[in-house]
Parts: sequence; structure tokens; C-alpha cells
Amino acid sequence: MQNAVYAVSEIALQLKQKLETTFPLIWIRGEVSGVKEMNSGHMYFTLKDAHAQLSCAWFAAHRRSNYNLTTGEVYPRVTREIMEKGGEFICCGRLSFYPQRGTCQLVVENVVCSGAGALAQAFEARKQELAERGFFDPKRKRPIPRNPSRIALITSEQGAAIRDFLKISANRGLSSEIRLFPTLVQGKEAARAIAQALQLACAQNWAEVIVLIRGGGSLEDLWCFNEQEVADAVFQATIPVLAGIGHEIDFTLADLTADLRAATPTHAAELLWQPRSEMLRELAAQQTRLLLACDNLLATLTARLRHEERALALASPRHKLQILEERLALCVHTFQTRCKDFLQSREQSLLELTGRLRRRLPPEKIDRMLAQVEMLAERLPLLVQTQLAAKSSSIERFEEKLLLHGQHNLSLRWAKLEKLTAQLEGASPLVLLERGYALVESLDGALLRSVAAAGSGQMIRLQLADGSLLAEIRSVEARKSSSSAKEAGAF
Amino acid sequence: MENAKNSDDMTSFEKQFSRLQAIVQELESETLALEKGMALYREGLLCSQNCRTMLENARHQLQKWQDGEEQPLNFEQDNQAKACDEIPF
Repeated sequence: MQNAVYAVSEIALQLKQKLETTFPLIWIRGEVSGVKEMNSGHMYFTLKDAHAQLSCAWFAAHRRSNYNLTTGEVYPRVTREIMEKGGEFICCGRLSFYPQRGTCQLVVENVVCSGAGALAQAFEARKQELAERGFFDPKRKRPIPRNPSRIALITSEQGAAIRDFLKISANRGLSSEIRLFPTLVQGKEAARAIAQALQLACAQNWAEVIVLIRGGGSLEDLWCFNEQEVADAVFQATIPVLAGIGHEIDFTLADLTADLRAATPTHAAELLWQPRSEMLRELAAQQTRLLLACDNLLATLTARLRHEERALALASPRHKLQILEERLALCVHTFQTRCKDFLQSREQSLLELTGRLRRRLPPEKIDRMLAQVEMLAERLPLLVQTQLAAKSSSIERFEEKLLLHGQHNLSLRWAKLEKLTAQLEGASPLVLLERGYALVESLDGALLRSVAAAGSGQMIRLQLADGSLLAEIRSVEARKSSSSAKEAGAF
Repeated sequence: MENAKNSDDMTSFEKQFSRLQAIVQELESETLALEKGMALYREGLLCSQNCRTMLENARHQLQKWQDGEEQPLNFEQDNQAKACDEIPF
């Protein structure tokens, strides 16, 4: 057997059996690092000290129980968060060899905090309690005023925290008053001192914000900020509290209870005040925009004014006059041109016609015609006189003839008139009247021809040959026969 | 009583800065009448100058409350005097 050759899996299996039988359940003390938690609930980490390290696997089934398998003692539950904080732990489990990877590991069944771990457990327990009491409720968190002018600063007078805080604040925010409430920040008396400082700041009611800060340190150093007294004072503070305790990784109960947690004292100053350079930059940006907006406004208004000026110039009488003058000048020019053209064309045609005339009517012919005209003009008056004289004598002859005919005609007409007059006189009713007849007429001159037209008492006129009589009818008697006799009366 | 003290600076800075922002916005958003525009511009310039003065003159004053009263605290000197001390926090 001594010189036998083993297969890897054979020796691995033997190693596994040897380990598991030699170390059935052991306790190992060491620092925890490289904590990994799987979704399944299994946890893997490394347990180490100054010279060696050991891989550990803590399976979900084992993590659920928090009592000692051998003694039955119940331990506070150790969570991933507690293990991640580091420190010393005591792990209980079985050593085993894992053939697939060829590694040795401790299959952990329970983990108990050792030393600092106990503080962390106390922290967890108190945190749980405070959470249940609503200390960390986001609804009760008040906003921290930005760029405050009165700050109550609670920290140690001698420490890195106040130096860091003041250094950062030097170039930030506007003028402010910082009132320091010097206090212990470490040790047994610290918690009471911090709580009293908080109560004093609130009682003064002077500050706009309370800033509670402390530099980095171990969990033990920072422990006073986990004390119930401090947490209560922060919780009861009537002024918003900004806490910046330790480093980024440190979370104390005072931090969690405060209205706002800053990672560090430096960060607290950054949260309170904006850098002045940034404020100046914002101011400068606003100023630039102001200037630009004003320039734009002026440019817009100037452009509008120019536009209106142009419109006004176009609408002005002077401009209209100018347009009319231009139009007139154009008309005059056109007129002149046309006239000139017309005159030129007429002159041209005159010249042409003159030329043609000259060609058709030579001057000597014209002279001849003119002489003829003059001769005819001389003969014209004489001819007219002769004609006039002939016409006058003819008129006189006709006048004599007309007179002669007129006289003869007149005498004939006179003889006929006399004869007709004699005939008329013979037929006149007046002749009858002279023989004793009378004409009977009513007063309006109408002849009475029948008794039917007369009435008793009517006035009548009787025309006789030498005059007239006015009479009144007494009675009317009509003749029986239809023969003549107009009326019979007693007259 | 003490609470009213010293808050004027900040409120006036905030007020003046907000006013400046409002003025810039109004000038940018519409074409105003010349008189109103110029008046706003002058007001904005004044706000801006006031804000700048406040920022340039800004200083924090540090005092210490001890034994029931406020005491001056020259931190720079303190700081230098104790700079060599090894303070762990």
C-alpha cells in the first residue's frame, strides 16, 4: 500500500472522509471577509487571521436556526449586513473536502459575533426597535433649509470634523452665523452631552438647522451616537437635524433618525451650502440673459420704428407729390416726343406732298391758273349785277299783274255780297214782326214754342217789331187738337 | 426673538435672485413697451448687483455657546495652535 498510486478522485474521497471524521463539529474564530449571499439564501465567505484563511459555506437551511447545536443556546441572528461590517466571528461547523474543486471548506452551521460583533448585534436590535417606533419613518423627515444663515453646530471643539466642516463652508453659501455647542463625541459621557447640546439648541430656537457631526472612528468610538439617549434627542428635536457621523460606511442610529444624513462632516457642509462660485455663475448667467433680452428688445423696437418710418415716408404728401411729379415729367416727355414725332412726320409728308405737287403742278401752270382765277374774279361782279337787274325787272312786272287781278276779283265779290244781303233781308223774322207777329221767350232768352214749356205765374218776354214787353202768365190752356196755336192767354 | 435676526440677507438674496429670474423670463418671453422694458432692465440690473455684492461679502461667523453665553471663537488660531496635536476624530 505504501507505494500504491492513487487516482485523484480516490485520494480526494479519502481526504474527505478523513477530514469529516477527524473534525466532526468544530468552532473556529477569525475575521470574516468576502461575504457573498446568493439568491438561494446560501452565503459564502472567508474566515481568516493574520497567517491563514479558510473558505466557508453557510447554507440557507443552516442559516435559519440561530441556536447552538451542542448546547441549545440561542444567539442573536447574524445577518449579511453584520458580517459585511467585518470584525471577529466564531463559526461553528464541519470541515469538509470538496473533490470537484479540490478545496477544503468549512460547512458552517452557526455564526456568533465575537467582541465588536456583540456591539453590532446590539445596534441591530436597537435599530429594529427604533424602526418600529417610527424613528426612521421618511414621512417625519423635514427638509433641511438650503443656504441657511443660522446654524447650530454640535461637535467637538477639537477635532477633524469641525475643521473639515469649516474648511468646506468657507467658500459656500451666503453670510451665516455658526454657533458651536462644544461637546464630547466619544466615551461614556458623550451620549448625555450630545443629547443635552441638542436639547439646548432646540430650546434656544435660534438656529434654522442643527448640524451634528463627528469624524471617522471604530464602531466603539462612534458608539455614543447609537445610544438611545442621543437617538431620542434627535427624534424630539424641534429644529431639522443634519447628521454627518464617521465615514461613508458608518451608519449610526443618530444618522438614521436625523432629518437628513450626510456621509461625512464635509458632506454635511456641502449639503447645507451651495458653492459661491456656482451661485456667482448662475448670477452671471442671469445677468447675461438680462443684457441679451434687453438688446433683443431694443433691436425689435428699433426695427419696428424703422418699419413705421418707412411706411410713413411712403404715405407722406411729399412722396405722393414726388410720384405725381415723376408721372407728370413722364407725360410731358411722352407728349413732347409724340409732338415732335408728329411734327416730323407731318413735315415729312408735307415735303413729300410738296415734292409731288411740284412734280405734278409746275409753277408756271399754277401761275397760269392764278391769272385765270384773277380774270374770273374781275368778271364776277359785272355778271352778278347784270343778273340782278334782269331779276328785278321781272319782279316788277309780276307785281303789276298781281294788282290788276286783285282789283277785278274784289269788285266781283262786292256785287255778289250785295245781292245776298238783299236776299237775306227779305227772309228776316223782323219783317214778320212788322206784320203783327210776336216772339215769346223766357227770361233766359229761350223761345217758347209749346204751352207745355210754360207754367202759370212765369214771367215771359214778348218781342214786337219796335220793342219788347214783359208779361206774366195767368193760366195755361192747351189746345185739344194737334194743330198749331202755341198758347192762349188773357192778354 | 433671535430667530428673526440675520435672516434678511438670505431672504433678500433669494427674493432678489427670484425677481431677477422673473424679470429675465418676462423680457425674454414677450416684446414689451420700451419704458416698461427699460424699467425692468434697470430693476434686474439692480437685483443682480445686490446679489453679487451679497455673495462677494459673504462670510461665516463662528461663535461658541458655553457656560450659558455666546463667546467668540477664533477658529483659525485655535486650529493652528492645535494643528500639531494628534486628534483622532
